[in-house]
Amino acid sequence: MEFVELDREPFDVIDEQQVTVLPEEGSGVRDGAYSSTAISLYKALNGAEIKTGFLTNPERLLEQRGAEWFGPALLFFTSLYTSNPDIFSQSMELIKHHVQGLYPSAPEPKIRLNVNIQQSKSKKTTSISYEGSVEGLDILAEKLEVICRNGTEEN
Amino acid sequence: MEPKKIDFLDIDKEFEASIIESIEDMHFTVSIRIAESRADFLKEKIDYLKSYKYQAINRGSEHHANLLLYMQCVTQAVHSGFTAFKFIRQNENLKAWGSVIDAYEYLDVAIRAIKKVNGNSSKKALSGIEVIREIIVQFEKGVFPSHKLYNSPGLVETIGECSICNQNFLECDHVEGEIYSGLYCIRTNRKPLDFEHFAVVENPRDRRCIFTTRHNAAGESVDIFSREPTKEPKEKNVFEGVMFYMGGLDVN
Repeated sequence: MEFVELDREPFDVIDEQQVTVLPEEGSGVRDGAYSSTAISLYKALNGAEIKTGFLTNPERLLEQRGAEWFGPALLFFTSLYTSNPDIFSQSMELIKHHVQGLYPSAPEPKIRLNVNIQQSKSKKTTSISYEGSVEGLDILAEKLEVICRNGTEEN
Repeated sequence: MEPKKIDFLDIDKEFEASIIESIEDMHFTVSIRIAESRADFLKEKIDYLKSYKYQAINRGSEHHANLLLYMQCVTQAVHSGFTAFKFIRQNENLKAWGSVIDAYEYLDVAIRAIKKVNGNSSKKALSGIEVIREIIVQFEKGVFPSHKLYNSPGLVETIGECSICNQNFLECDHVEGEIYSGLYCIRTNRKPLDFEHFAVVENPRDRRCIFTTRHNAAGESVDIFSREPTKEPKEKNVFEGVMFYMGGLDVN
C-alpha cells in the first residue's frame, strides 16, 4: 500500500458540490484523454446518488492493460466535504464495490487512484496518489478527511 | 407429433448433465476426435442457451435471463477448454493459449451472473466454477510453458458503444462489467487512435499478450511453444509477441 501526497495547481471548476472526474495529464497522446475506467465510474457514482461530473467532455480514452484497475483522477472540494462529511467513505466504498465486481476471481484486486482535494476558499490543492489493494481505500478515505479538516481549520 | 414443451428445470438439468458429461472427457490425453466432437456438442448447447436467454429477456424475466447467462458462460468455458485441446493437437499453440484465456474470462462472467442472481450464496454454482477453473489451471501448467513477462500496451482509443443498448457509451447509464437481464456490459466498436507505450509486465490484464519467441541455450531464436527455430533467426535482444488483442468474448 503506497500513498504519495503532493501540492499542485488548483482546478477551475464551477460546481463544487459534485465529484469531478479529471482527464489524464502529461505530454503526448494521453494529454486530455480520460482513463478508460472514467465513464463507468462516473455512471456508477451518479447511480449511487453521488453527484459527479467531468471537467471537460470526454472524447478519447486512455486504455492501460495492466492487471490493476487504473482509476481516473478525481477532484473533491472541501465545501463538498463540509456539506456531506461521508462523501469520502461513500465514494471509496462504491469504488471498492465497483472494482471487486470487475475482478470477480481476484481475492484482492489492485488499484491505482489519484484523488485531489481543493480548499474552497484558499484554493490550496493537495493530490494523493494511491497504489494498493481495494482494502486500502478505507485508509485513503480517512486521509482525505484529515486533509479537508486541516484545510478547513487553516481557512 | 407435438413439439415437447420444456420448462426451466429441464434446461437446468440438461445443462448440468452436459457439463458433468463433458468434464469427464477433459483430460490432456483426449483424442482430437473426441475434443472436436465435444466442442461441436457444446457449441450446440451454447446456441440453445443463448436462444432460451433471449426468450427470457423478451418475456422480461431478468432472473431466468441471468441464470441462462451463467449457464451459457460455464458452457462456453468448457467449450474453450476442448477448443484448446483441439488446437494443441493441431499444433496451433498460440490459438490454444488464447482459448485457455477465453475459458478463464468466461468463468469470470459466469461468476458475475450467478452472483447477480443469488449474491454470495451461490455455493454450489461457485464451487462448480472452481472445479472447471482448476482443470483449466492444471491444463495451463501442464501443457504450456510459463510466461514470466507479458506485453501491456497503453493506448488512446475512441469511447465506443454500449453492448447493451448500442448507444455511444457516454450517452447511456450502463456500467462496464455489470449484467443487465442476461446481457453483459462492455464497450464495443472501440477504435485505437494512438499507441502511447508498450510495457513489459509480470501481471497484465490480458494474458493473451505474450512473447511468442525466445532464445534457447544455444542462443537460437525459437518458437516459445514448439521450440522449433524461427523462420528468420533473431538477434539476442529481438523477440516476437502479441502486443495487443482487440477481440472479445462472445457473451451476448
